[in-house]
Amino acid sequence: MSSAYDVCVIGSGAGGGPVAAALAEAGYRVVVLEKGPWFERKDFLKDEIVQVQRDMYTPDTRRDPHVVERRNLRGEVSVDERSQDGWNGSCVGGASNLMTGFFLRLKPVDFRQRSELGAIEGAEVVDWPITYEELEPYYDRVEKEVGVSGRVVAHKNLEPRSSPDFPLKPLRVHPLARELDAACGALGLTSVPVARAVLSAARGGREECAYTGLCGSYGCPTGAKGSSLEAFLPRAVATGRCDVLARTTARRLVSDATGKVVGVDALGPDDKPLRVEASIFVLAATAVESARLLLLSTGPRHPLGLGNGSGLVGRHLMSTTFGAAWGDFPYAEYGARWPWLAGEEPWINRCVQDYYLVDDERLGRRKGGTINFLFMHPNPISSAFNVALERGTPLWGWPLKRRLEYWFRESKHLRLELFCEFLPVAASRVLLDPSVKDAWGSPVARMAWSFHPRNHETATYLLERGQKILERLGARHITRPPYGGESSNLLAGTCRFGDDPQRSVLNRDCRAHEVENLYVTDGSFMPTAGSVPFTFTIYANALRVADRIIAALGGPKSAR
Amino acid sequence: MLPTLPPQPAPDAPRAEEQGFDRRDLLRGAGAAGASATIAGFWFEGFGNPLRRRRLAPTPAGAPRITFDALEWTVLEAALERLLPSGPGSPGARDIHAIGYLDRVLAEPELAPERFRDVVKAGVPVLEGRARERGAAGFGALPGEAQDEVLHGLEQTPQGTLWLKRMLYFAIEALLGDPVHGCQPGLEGWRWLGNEPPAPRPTQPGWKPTGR
Repeated sequence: MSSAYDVCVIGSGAGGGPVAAALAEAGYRVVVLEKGPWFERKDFLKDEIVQVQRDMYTPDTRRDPHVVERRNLRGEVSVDERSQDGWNGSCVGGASNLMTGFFLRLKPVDFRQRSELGAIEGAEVVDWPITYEELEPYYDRVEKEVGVSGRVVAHKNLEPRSSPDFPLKPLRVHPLARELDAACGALGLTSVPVARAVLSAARGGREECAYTGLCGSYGCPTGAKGSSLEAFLPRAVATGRCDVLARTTARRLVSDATGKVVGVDALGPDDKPLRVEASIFVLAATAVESARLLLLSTGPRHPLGLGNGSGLVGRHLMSTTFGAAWGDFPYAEYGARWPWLAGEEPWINRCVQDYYLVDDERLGRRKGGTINFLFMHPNPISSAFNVALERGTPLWGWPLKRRLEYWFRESKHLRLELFCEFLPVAASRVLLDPSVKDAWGSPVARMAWSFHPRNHETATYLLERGQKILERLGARHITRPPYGGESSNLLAGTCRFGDDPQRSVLNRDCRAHEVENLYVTDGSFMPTAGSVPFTFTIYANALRVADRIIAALGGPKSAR
Repeated sequence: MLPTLPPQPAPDAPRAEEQGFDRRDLLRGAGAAGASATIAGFWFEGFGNPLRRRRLAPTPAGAPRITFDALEWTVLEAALERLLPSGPGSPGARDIHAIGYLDRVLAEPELAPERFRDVVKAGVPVLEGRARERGAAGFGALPGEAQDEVLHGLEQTPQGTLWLKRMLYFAIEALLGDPVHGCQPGLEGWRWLGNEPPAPRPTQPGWKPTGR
């Protein structure tokens, strides 16, 4: 293996792709190690059985599981020793292949929660070491470089922007979006067009969105989705200075007597061992696997794991606090008034951020979240099975067939989803499992989820408000489960960044406090989770860190 | 008008839109206090790496049995037909070759863990026993309404309910899965419910992307 690499990036998803592109374009030699296979557009078929219902994008949990431990609000613990949770998107481009490109920025308050909203007992809420203003130029770059479609609408929680609007016009939406705008307006709320990392017009070899609705959980066959696979890795590869090694799993980072990382021991295709050497190492393997790799990578100067002198590696595992509700618009009732209702336009693309900050008599002033509106996912097998189980006892026979006809042929189903603050607690963590090992003999990651009770309280408050919007719009048969738990396909925390080496793993540049040539650029760095999906922020931060790495290496080579 | 459903934990305990209504999400059960135990672990834990999967050819009508013996085939075919009855204007298990699909899928350890096969087969003597208690020669010999009563009887125990759910799950896959996998040969399910998926669809029997 060539040792001529300047930078070795572990993981090719949202945290790895931007770094690889920026470094390679700045003239540096980059190698990207990706555990999963390298799929292409032609592989991304609309085949629900293979693409969604089986494990095309997850490792074999018999050989390579996560252990998931959950503690519910009553303190009861459940453990799954062969879970796929936290593995989603094990392929080149990572889970960004499977997103729906829901690209909302964090807001200034998210960087200053402790200062602006105060301490919360039982949670380790901190300010970020950087401000929104420091990240803003990188959000702006992502919008332009990835191609984000949308339309800026003024509302009370709109974050400051350096560009007045998005580079691409919004995606076409179903006419129900207009009615939703009106319903929100009548309630004194602002219905905000959702920005998407999905192309509304062809651009740079990527086609525009095909509007099939089969977006989340599927790879994109047109390249419209701004995945790392489409938006960043081709730029890196095109320089001729970036090698992407698919089916290559980093097993351990090797550090020397000075504490510096000197190489990565990996297993390539067919488990062939290899060592990759580079000047700088960038870990971007997800908040779960990055923490696991650090904990596995003990060394002479790192007895508790690489960069883990603080003991905080793996701590503060976060997701987004989730919640959902949905309701129907039966054609029999609405067809005459809304003749367009049965139309197949898949996007609604609206969210409400009026409750991003909650100021309530009972709850006080606190972080709330985002209410997103979308149609129920059109996957027929999943939808039909959910219909069969919607009352608990399975529905079958003619009652099931009648219910399926209603679900698929006689009604539209509008859903709302919450992205609500998930408070950081030290007990929520990734650790090396004491007993379960992978097929190669290393302890697997144990995701031990713990939830601050406030998550639930705030999410319930937002769900109640969301339900009022559905009611105002006229939705029938509204279903509102009491609590959605976490959304474990969104992962953050585990290597929080900060200025104090005793209280954080990474410094403000996302470099490990204790390791001069190791950076972490996936969602691990986030010390608080914010109330929007993480991918956009991971992209933006990865570009920011790439600039710091380029500076550490002496600046862009072409400029020297 | 269908009645409003009472608030309850969702069968698909909700997950984020971002990065997916993924397989776990969609096969997820209501977990303890909503903190959501995965139903993936419940249904599909241990699916193999797609790279090592063998190809699954379609099941033509009348193809030889792979997983089931003649009795199992007959009993399960009858049970599937009660779960998804055939009728005028809407396809049932018979029309979509649900038994052939089940027989085929359960033969593939990478598509359905081995214990699924055992669980599905374990239902056969139970159904046969209950049919005999009713004085019939076997489940297949019972009239439809009596078969339904036997199946409803299974709902009284967790194991029986689990068996029904698994059977139902595969019946639904057969109804709405791509015909390339050996089900709904004439697109019966998609045409009935109006949800034929868009291109690109798989074109080769059992085609599964393996990537580079």
